[in-house]
Amino acid sequence: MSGANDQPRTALLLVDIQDGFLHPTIWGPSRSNPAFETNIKSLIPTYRQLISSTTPPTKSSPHKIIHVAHASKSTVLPLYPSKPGFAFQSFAAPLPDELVITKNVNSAFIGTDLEQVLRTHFSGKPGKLWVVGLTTDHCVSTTVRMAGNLGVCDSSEGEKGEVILVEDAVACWKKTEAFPYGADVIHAVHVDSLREFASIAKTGEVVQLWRDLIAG
Amino acid sequence: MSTNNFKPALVIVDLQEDFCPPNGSLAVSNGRDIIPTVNKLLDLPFVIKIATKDWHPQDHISFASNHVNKKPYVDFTTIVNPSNASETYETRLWPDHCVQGTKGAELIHELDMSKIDQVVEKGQVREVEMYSAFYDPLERPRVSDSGLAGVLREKGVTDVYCVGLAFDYCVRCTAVDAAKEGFRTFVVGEGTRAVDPSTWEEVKGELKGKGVEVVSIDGEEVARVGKA
Repeated sequence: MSGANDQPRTALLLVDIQDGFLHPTIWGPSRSNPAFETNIKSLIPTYRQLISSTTPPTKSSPHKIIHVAHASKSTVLPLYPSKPGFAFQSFAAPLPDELVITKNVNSAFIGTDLEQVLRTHFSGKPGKLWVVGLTTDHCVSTTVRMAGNLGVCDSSEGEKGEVILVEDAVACWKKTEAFPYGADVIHAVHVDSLREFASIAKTGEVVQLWRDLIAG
Repeated sequence: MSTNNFKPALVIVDLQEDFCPPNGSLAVSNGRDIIPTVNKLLDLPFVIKIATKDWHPQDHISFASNHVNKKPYVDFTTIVNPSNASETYETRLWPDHCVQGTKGAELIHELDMSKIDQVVEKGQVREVEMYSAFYDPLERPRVSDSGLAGVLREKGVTDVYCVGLAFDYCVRCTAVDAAKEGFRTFVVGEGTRAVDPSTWEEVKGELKGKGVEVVSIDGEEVARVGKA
């Protein structure tokens, strides 16, 4: 098994996987990617195994899980902090020692210390950041774009790190029935455009990569 | 001067900071330009002078910010009668405005409050929009009644003169309801401005069809009030 020092420093960013998105109608008439939940349920435990496989008693892991919660400012919307919808979906609930960052706008970097958290975690070396969650075209997209533009994964010498969007571990809604394209098309178009800012990967290959790291 | 046959009331609609430049969140272009006309009218011997206020809770249904994927000015939402789900209508969404207790909800400072007899608030119910100072548009049953008609009748008012903001929304609806309530109703043209000035003639025509005349501050209808 590899020692913690050999492995790249990585982070898994879980964006807005909250109960409010279970509202049956408010986000739109239909959602993309029926495999979203299955893929998240596969990614989170595997990454947690990766973290524990590399955590000797006195040092912290080169891998870090970060939960992002969206807090609506409108008291009537499902993601308002005192509403039941604000809670993380059960399969995405943070463990007690995992970091939770709360945001009020689409970007997980604005009004939060996420940039600092990541740069500190990557310790000046190039890092990998996997981004998953909701929704493809709003909070995930804005966060991925900013991660790319900020160069949060790049080393202090400018060596490029990697922001990776796990395309089948995100989902989005068709907003109105009148819009001529379905949710899966909207999803695919947004993922395609995000190639400018991030690499695109699938759950299967990401889980395999992590398993390889666990196995050493 | 009032006689038994002529008891005029002045209703100044929503002359609040949020509807006026420079800082209003829902500023009507040139909204403050009506101030001289309004102040002129305030000096006339109306039997009662009322100022209305849009007075919304933060979670009001007309704010785009309280909806997902909706933008102010361009998007709409469906109002459902809380007591009758079959009665619905579409209403335009706005930026947050005139929230109860905020600076934006205050009557503008240029208004001489010592000349105002009564302030009537509207729009307090979360689930319904209320442009008219009298009542909301729902009818089966009505949700909100400000009591304004009662106040005017108590004073024996025969004629209602409307000014304020905005011509195409709250002034229009208030004037239409005043006429419906049986008051001879006028809108003093120099004393109002529209959110969408291009619709002025259209709104004027609609008002005329509903028995409301748009008149001038220099016209005989206003002069009649001043004959004291």
